[in-house]
Amino acid sequence: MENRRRDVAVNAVGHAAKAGKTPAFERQRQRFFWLLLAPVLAILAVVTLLPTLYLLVTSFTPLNLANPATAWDFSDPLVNYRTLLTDDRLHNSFWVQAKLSVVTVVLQLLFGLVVALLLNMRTPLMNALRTSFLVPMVLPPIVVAIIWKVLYSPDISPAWWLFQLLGWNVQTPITDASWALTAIIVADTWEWFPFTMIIILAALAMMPEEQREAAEVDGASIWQLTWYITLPYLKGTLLVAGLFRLIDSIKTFPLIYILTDGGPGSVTEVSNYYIFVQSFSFSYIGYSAAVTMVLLAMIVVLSWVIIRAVSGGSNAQE
Amino acid sequence: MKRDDRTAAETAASAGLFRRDVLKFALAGSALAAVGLRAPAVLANAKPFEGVTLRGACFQHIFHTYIQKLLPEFEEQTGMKVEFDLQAFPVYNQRMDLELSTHGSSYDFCNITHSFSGRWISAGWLTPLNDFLNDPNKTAADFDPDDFVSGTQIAYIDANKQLHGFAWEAGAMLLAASRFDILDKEGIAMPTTLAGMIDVCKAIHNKNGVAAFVADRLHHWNFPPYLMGFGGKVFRDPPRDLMPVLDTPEVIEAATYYSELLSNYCPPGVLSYTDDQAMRNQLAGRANMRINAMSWLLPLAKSDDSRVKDTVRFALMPEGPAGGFPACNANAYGIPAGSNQKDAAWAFIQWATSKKTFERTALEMGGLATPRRSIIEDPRYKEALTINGQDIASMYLDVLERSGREGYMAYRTVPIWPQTGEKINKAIERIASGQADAATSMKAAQAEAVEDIKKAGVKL
Amino acid sequence: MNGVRIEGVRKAYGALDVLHGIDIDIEDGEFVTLVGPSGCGKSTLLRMIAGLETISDGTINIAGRVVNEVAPKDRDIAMVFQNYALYPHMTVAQNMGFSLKLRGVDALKIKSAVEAAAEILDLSKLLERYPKQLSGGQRQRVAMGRAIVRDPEVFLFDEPLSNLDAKLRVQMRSEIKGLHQRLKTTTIYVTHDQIEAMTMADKIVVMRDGRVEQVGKPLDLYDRPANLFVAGFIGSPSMNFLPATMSAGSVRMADGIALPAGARADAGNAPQQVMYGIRPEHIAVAAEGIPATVSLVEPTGAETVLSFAIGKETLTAVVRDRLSVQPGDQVFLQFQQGAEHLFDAASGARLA
Repeated sequence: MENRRRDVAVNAVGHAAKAGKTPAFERQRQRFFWLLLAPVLAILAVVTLLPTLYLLVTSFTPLNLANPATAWDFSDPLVNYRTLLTDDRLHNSFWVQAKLSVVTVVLQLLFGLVVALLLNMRTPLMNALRTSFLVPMVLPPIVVAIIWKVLYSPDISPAWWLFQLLGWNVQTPITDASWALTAIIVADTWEWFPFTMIIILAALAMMPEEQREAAEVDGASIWQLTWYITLPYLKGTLLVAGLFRLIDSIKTFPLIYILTDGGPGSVTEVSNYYIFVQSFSFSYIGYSAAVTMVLLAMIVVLSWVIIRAVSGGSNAQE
Repeated sequence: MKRDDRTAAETAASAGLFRRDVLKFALAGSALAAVGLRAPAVLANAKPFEGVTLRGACFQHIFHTYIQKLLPEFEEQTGMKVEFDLQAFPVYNQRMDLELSTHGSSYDFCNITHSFSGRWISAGWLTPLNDFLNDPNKTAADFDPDDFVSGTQIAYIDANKQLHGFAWEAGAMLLAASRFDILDKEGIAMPTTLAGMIDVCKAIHNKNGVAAFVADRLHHWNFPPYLMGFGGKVFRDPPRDLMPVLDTPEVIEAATYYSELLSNYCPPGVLSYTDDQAMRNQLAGRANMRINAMSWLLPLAKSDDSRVKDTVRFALMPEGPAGGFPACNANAYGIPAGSNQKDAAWAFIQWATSKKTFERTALEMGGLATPRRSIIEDPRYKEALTINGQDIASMYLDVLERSGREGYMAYRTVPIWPQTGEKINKAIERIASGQADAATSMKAAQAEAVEDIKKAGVKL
Repeated sequence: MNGVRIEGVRKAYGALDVLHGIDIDIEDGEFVTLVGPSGCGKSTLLRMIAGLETISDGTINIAGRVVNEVAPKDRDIAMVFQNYALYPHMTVAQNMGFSLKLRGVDALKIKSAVEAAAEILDLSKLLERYPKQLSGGQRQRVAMGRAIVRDPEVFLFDEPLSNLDAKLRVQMRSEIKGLHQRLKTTTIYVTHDQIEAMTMADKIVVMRDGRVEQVGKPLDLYDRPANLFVAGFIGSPSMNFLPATMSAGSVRMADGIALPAGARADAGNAPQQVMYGIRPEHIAVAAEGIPATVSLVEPTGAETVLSFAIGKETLTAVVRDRLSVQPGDQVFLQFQQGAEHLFDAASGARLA
């Protein structure tokens, strides 16, 4: 008897589904789902979407805070976009950003990988050191910037004290046009390699022990094991960590603000730093909004490309 | 009957009248008594600003610490509470810029940073103070606005002769050598010309491990005096003609000179030095000469951290072929346009920049970069500023007067100065770090400045 | 001498002893299973033979060589893991050829070796597939193929069929057995399933708590288990145990029921507490005998499993005939003559 009733209900759902109507309980479930999601979406909209829309609208005006007449002046909506096409300093900032991003991501992946592989050996020494490797990432970024400012200032730096002992005459990199960006890259890599290290370490911990043992039985040395087994296993993880770091590298600010102020000249002026100068030192809100929009579009495209590559990669992983 | 009624009415009326009169006289009497009880320094009734909380913003500076020490008296007299919001200099400038642009009422008084004065005043973000000055009920008779040396106030007067602020600190560029003994040993006197100064540098650089010169990286403050000394100008004729002229041969020559100073005669890494770092260098005796505002040089003689108290010597900034144009600035208190407590704000500013207050801060507490002539000429001041036998007070006054008289600091107080100064900064960085020669760099700066000024909507 | 010799092998993790002196001789070409409950140390022993665990004491000999200090890759062994341990990013062919590639063997030689192994295991059509595209059974075969390609002295299997469903398990069992008959390589096979052990092994090693309980041919272990544990472990459904007292030539249960013991019962001597063992297939329902009450009837089709209550004890029997009994029926049981086992109740050791 019960079975027959159940069958009727199931058939009803089946029929309704075939007809394209969702059953009442399903609709209710969806409504509840949206109800729970609504507060978060509302907050996100206000905090993220509205300001972005405002920026987009502002980018069509030549808004200069010191000149009230420029607000809501849509007489020449594309003036900012035309200007940024010929703005050499902006183009330079893209180039500097590209250099900074590529090099720091590669270095951070490399260091993070090496340290993670070492830590994964789980010797007592490595276990003791594990926490200390996290310190750079845990420090507030401004503190990191000040630490490196001290390190790079010859008169107070312990490194230069050492150089003097060794009789080396080393110039400080942050005022040298050829080395300033490298100085920032070094500091940035020191600060963020623990991030990639942790992600890779987590993935390594989940790596099936049996694969490693099978490779050991098959005759793999440690190098062969790392190259043939561990690295292919980590491919997806490396891509994800790299993507995170890439997007984050576009936000590099404290290091540049404290160490070089975009200089000397403009050799360490990355795009978001240029935007900062334009908007907060000169109040060219309209122009910097336009540049921000362009930067945002580039980041969105970049993320999409990389996410496609990652999910394509992880499909071959299983 | 009738007579009784009238008498009653009259009596009643006259009784009421009498009572009213008594009340009136009593009130008047007590009011007089109340007024007579105290003699307030500031006008109007006792505690005129009871219950008012005044909020002000400034950048971190020791002067505000002095003021905060003296505040209890002021608060007692006026009944208001005064709160300071202090931030680091670059942060303050950016935040105040944004804050003022909103015409907000968060702050009742603020610091008008010298290099932003043109921008903020011409945008109408600050309140003109002339009405307050002309109202005897609001300004004490002995406030004496003319007591401020001209060079310290010139930035705060707009084209219509409207005054927007009163200085609490003045900066006058001087030359100080922390280790004059090294020059003396070589038989060299303090240089009086720019050409002479570089010869001195050549002679003493790295003697005894001391760099000949040191500077900070605020080239937009440090460099223009050299620029003008070599006969160049920043703008063609500020404030009317704002066309930059950064690529003239004179400017290029000045840039070459200044960059040579930075590259060859300063400690390594000088391009990254903040003003504090440069001062520390001099204080420790690791660098010899520096040209900057007196408040950065006085600690060489006065600070407990100074190792060079006995060997420091001062001089006026050496002159270039076209003369001497030592930079002079001031920082002033002003009232944001959007403030809702302007009377209270004015009462505070008046008190904070009064002679009496400066006497305390300058003569008793050691805030010697003061803008009032009466204080500078006070014998106690002269004594405090006699260092190793030199009369620094006169040098200081000389620079303040000169810049007011000749008006060569006008370039710094135009609305588009922040952008233009930044181009000069980058240009010097490029030359000193070897990325470009002076001509290329200054030509680039000129092009960038023109571009930027047009973007700000200025017709050139 | 070829084959594997395990002498006095001990394993300790810190202060915890896991293996207490194991001695096993494995002949060249023999198929030996290590069987026992979870935690008995069989996998540990296997991994020690492979070189994946260190040896705390004793020696392990492979093909006449003491291999205690030898690295796994040099022990001339190949291992098939419980979870196959295939390399997910390599094709089947690459998986199988990996060990040869590591040794720097010529690519053509690798190809022919892989193809030969694939032929044996019927994997030839799957060589370009990735592990995730294979079924469980196919993956297990690839794991075996990987082992075969190495042409080792010893195959080591670590519970390879545990992850497969029952039907596939039966099929793979015969395949592995067939492989062994073909290649004749010494094989050490670890399992917790005694049916696998019985059907595949030339020799069974029963282990418990880090000790060898008994070593012998499957049927020997079945017919003459050396102690209570082996008796209960081998055989499914497992042997019935009835606690009883043996005295003066007869064996009686606590409530007086007599159990047929025949010549085994020891005449004379003091009364002894014993465990009386009788396998389910040696019990029949008859007209007379030991009284019992039917408690459960479970027909499997080919046979019927019956549970009885005798006094306070339960008994399981397996009969071929279809009996029309219901739970609750009173019946009589007869035991096959001479099929009983007697064990000392205290030590568990076999009595005669």
